[in-house]
Amino acid sequence: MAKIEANAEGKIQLARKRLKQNVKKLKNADSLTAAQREALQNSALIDLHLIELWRLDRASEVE
Amino acid sequence: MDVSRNVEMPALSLDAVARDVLGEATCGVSVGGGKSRIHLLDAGALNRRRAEDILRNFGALRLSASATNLDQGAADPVIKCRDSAISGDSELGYLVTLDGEIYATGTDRVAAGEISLTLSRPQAGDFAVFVWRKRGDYASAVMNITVNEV
Repeated sequence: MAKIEANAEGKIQLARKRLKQNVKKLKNADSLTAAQREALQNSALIDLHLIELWRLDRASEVE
Repeated sequence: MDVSRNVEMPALSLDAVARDVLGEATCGVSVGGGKSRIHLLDAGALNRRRAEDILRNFGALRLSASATNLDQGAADPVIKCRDSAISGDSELGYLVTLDGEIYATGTDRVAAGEISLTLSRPQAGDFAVFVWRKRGDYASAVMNITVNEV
């Protein structure tokens, strides 16, 4: 009776998807309030950092 | 040495079962041109037989799901494998992909002749839940589940 939740790779996959969605929303920035725009930008920045940290981790494992 | 079958299987799934059964560093897989191949570094009779079983029995397990197409936020879908082939198994392996990328991997214990996997609070996307036997004929199967954005 396993409960399936995202593992480390799954969390990065979710971050990639979220980032794509948020960038898409930011492209229509005219329809957003300043607060909404800021929240999306912050979320995108966090996801970018997560993805970059994961990439660096993987690179160091290969070395 | 390569063992192949004339059908294209999902590469990540085939890779997961092959590495689990044959060993992490002793095999690889490739898929294309209408074929799926397992590349063996140690092509002894036992490994050849195992690789042939993996390819022959890919898709042979019976899986069911409480829902295969649902909206985000709906009840968590439950995937079950209740197949007579697994009645003597202690556990099965599983790999879950989301939009073609690895989402989760693990093993689940067989209880009362079945395993039950609950996809917890899934985000929108195309999930594939792949399950395989870790012994016997190494049969496997995949269940696709689509979660729609709301």
